[in-house]
Amino acid sequence: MKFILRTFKWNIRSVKSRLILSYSIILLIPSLAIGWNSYTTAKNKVDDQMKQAAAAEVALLNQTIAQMIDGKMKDVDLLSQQVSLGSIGSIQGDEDPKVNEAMDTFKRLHPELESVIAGTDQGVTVQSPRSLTIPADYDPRNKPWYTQAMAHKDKVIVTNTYISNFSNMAIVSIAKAVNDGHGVIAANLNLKTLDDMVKGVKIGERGYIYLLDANRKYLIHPIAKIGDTSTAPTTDTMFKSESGEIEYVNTLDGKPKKMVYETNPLTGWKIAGTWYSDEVRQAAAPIFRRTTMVMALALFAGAIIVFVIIRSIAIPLRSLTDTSREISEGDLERRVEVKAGDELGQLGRSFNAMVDSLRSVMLELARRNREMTDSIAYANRIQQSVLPSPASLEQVFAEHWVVWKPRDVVGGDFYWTRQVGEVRWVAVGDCTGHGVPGALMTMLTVALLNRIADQGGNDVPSQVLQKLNGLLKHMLRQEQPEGLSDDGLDLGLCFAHGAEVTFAGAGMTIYVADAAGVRMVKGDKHKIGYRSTPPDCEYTNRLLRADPDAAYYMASDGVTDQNGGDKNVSLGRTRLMAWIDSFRILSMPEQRGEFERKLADYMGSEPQRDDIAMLAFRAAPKRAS
Amino acid sequence: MRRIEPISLQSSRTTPEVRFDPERATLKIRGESYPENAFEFYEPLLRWADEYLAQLSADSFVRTELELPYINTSSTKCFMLLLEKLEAAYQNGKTIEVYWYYDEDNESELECAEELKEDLTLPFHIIPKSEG
Repeated sequence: MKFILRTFKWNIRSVKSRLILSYSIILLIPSLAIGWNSYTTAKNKVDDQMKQAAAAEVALLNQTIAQMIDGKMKDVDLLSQQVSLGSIGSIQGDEDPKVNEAMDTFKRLHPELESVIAGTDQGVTVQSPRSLTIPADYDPRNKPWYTQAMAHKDKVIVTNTYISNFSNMAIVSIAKAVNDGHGVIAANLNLKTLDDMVKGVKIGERGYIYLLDANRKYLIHPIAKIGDTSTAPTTDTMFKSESGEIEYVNTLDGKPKKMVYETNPLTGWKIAGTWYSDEVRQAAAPIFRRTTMVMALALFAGAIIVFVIIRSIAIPLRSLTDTSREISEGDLERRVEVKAGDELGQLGRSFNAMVDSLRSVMLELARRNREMTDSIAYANRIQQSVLPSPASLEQVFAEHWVVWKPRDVVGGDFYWTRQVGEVRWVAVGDCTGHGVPGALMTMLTVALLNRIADQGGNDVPSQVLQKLNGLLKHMLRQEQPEGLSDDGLDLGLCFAHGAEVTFAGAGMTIYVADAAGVRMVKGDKHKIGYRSTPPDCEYTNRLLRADPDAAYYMASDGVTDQNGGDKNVSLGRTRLMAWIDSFRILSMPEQRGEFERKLADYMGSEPQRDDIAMLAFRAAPKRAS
Repeated sequence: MRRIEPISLQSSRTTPEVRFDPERATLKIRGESYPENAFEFYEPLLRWADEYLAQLSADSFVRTELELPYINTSSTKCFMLLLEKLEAAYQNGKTIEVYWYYDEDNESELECAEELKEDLTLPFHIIPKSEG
C-alpha cells in the first residue's frame, strides 16, 4: 500500500479521493446499519427473554401460591366441619382428645404448616404440635384469624401476614369458624417453603423475585426486612393495578431496572420479578462483539477489494498523467504502459496512438524545417559571398567596421563597396522584407549597383541612386499597372575622394562624428523603388563637411527601431547618436565591440525586430604609423 | 443600403488591436505592427475603409485614433494607403480627423507620425501620451 500512500494528498477533486470516499461510504453505511440493527435486535430479544422469564416465574409463583392457599382453604373447611370445640372447657389446658387427634392428623398430612391452632369462644387455645408453648396471656379471641373467621362464619378466611409468636417467621393463617360455632380453627402457613422456592429463582444474573402482602409489607425479599412496609415508589404503581410492567431506577444502587408483577387473587399479595437493564446489554455483548468482528472482517476484505480497484484505476491514470507531462516537456519517445484491457487500457492505447501520430507529424515537420533551414543556411552563404569580404573592404577603407545581423539567417540589409578610379564608393541598404524575400532584393540590388558602377559615368552618388531606382522599378515591372511588386529599399551611398565625402541618401541617414561631436545628415525622403517613387526621381548630393579624420556611420532602420531598454521602446536616433558620441574616439575595432555590447544590453531579452546593418568608416587614408 | 459591420480584432504578437466602429464613427488601431506579410493583414481593413468612406453622409464626423509604437516598413506603406483614403474622403468634404498618440520616450514613433503626416491636409494631431 506504500506506493499509493506515498504520493497521496487528500484532494476531494481527485478521482482517487472520490473513489476512496465513495467506497468508504458504500462499505461503512450498510455495515454500520446491519451491525447496529443486529445488536439492537439481539438486545431487544434478550430483554424480551428476560421479561418473559420473569413473567413466567411470577405467574408460576402466583399459581403455586393460589394452589397452596386454595388447597389449604378446602382442607381447613373440611376440618372445621369435623371438629367441635364446644366440648372443651373454659380453662387453658382443657382439651378434647378427638380435637387433638383431628388436629394432629391434619398437621401430619400438611407438614409444610407451621402449626394448626384452634381457639375456643372461652379463650382456650389448642395447638398441634403441642410442643409449642402458648404464652400465658395469649387470648385467641383477640387475634385477627379468630375475629375475621368469626365475622364470616361460613367462609374460610386468609389473614394478612404477620410474624409468628412461636417461630418468629412470616405466616398467614387460613381460618374458619367450626360448625358448632364455639371457636375457630386455623392452619398457620409458614412462608418458608415459598421463601425457599423464591430464593432459588434468578432472573438474569442478579434479578430476583419478591412478594408484598396486601398491606405493602415485605413477605419475601432478598434484602429488605421481612414485615417492613415498603415505601418504594414502585409499590405505589404496583398497587394501582392487578398486573403490569415497570421501568424504574433502583433506589438502592441507582441502576436502571425493570419489573413485572401480578396480584394473587386469594391473598391480594403482589408478586414481583425484577432485573437489571444493564444485564441485557451484558447479555447482548457477545453478539455485539461478534457483529463487530464480522464487520471488521468485512471492512477489511472490502478495503482490500477497494484498494485493488482503486489501484487499477489510479495507477494507469497516474502513468497517463506522468507520461503526458513528460511528452508535453518534449519527450515524444515516451509511451504509456498498457496492461489492462478495460476502458483505461483503451484510453492508454489511443493515447499512445495519438503520441505516435504526433511524433510522426513532428518528425515530418522537423525534417521539412531542417530542409528549409539548410536551404536558408545555404542562402546565407550565397548572400555572404555577395557582401564585400573583410579583405576587400579593408582595401577600400582601411579604417572601418561592420555589423551585419540578419534577423532570420538571411535578410534584406546589405552593405557594398567599390573603388572606381580614385573614388571609393560605400553603401548601406535596407530592402523591403526580411529573410528570403529581403535577401532576393539585396541580390538584385547589388547586381544592379555593380552594373551601374561598371557602366561608368557616375560623378556623384545621386546619379547612382537615380539609375538604381529606374533600373529596379523596371526590373520589378513597377511601371506596369499589373506588376505585382511594390518593393524597394532605403539606401545611403557615399563617394569618398581622399578625406572628402559626398553622401546621397534615399530614406537613409548618415551620422558624422568628429571633434565637434556627432551630427546626422538626412538623405532624401524618396526611397529607391516602390510605386510611390517616380521612375525619374532625382536625389540630392550632400557634401559632408567634417574634420579629415571624421568617422561616418550608416545604419539600417533595424538599429533605431530595435526595442528594449527600461521602457521597452525603440532605440531611436538620439540614443544612437549618444552611443556614437560615447565611442567615437575609440579605435574602429573597439567601436564595433562597444556598439555590439550596447545593443545587446539595450535589447535585453527582447528578440531582434528587424535585420540590422551598421557600417562605419573613416575616409582619410590610414596614416602610416 | 447594406449595413456596415464593425471590425474588432485582438492584438497578436505582430499585429495591432483594431476597432473599427461605424456606429460611433471611430477607427482605432493600437499596438505594434510587424507581420511578415503586412498586406495580407491590412488588405481587408483597407477594403472596409473604402466601403465605409463611400457610404458616409456629408455631415458625418469620423475620428481616427492611432497608437503605433512600432510599425515595420510594409505596415507603414499600408498606413499610408489608409491615410490616403481618409485624405481623399476629407478632400470630398467629409469631416475626418486623425489623432496619433505616441510615447515621448519613443523617438521613432514620433518620426513615423511626422513622416506620415507630411503629405496630408486633413487635421492630424500628434499627441504625446501623458505619463501614468
